Amino acid sequence: MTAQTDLLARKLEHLRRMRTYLTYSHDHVTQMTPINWSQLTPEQHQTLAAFRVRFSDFQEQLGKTMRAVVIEEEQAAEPFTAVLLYMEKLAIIDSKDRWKEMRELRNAINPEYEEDSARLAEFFDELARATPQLFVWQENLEHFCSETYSIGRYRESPPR
Amino acid sequence: MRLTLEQIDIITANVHHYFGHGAKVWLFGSRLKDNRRGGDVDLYVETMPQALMQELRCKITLSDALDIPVDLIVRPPDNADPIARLAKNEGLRL
Repeated sequence: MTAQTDLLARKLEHLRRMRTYLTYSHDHVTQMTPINWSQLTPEQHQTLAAFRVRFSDFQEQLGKTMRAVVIEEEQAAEPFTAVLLYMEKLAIIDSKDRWKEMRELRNAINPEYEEDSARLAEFFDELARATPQLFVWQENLEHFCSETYSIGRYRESPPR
Repeated sequence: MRLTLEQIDIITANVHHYFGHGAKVWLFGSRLKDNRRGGDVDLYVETMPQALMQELRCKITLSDALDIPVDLIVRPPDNADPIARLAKNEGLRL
């Protein structure tokens, strides 16, 4: 294993750990839908806040790991759109536009300041809807790394 | 104002595409100041309430088409937020 693939393996492992945290938050949030903002308890507000942060962190880490793959493949890693286009080509993500939508979404609203409760509910509904797609992309990346570098979750018995 | 006619066309065409031809758009912020350099494109759009994802798609399309970060604020016509007054009073209708 090279230093770069060792780094990649660590990033994949980190992603798996972050996924368990995001899954936990996502499960709790989906049980709260449809969100009635005025009826939320302080604990539920905290659940939503944690979910938002974990969604952002997970997408950020997924992006860093994708960039590491692009570097390993000796492809252009700047600007980040080049990374997304290469991921599209490898069929790891469906579309760079959907990735950008998710990135914009997570920054679109600050729940601490937003006063429009319908908007807040819409925001968290969209985040909850996007989460399974991030998980699929993470799995696709795992499969690629397993088959290409023999690292990651599926390294001993690749599923495809 | 530091936008070309082509850039203004891109902005208005996309705003109308995503929000309909009744949507009105103002440029405000640093791009109005000729003595500045660079900076985001701050846009205020007045239209009927829109889905969050529709607003985000418009913002992404504009940022990609202009190759400049775009800050897009979308509000209904009766909005009285300070940002609405600022954008409409001090901004430039495109």
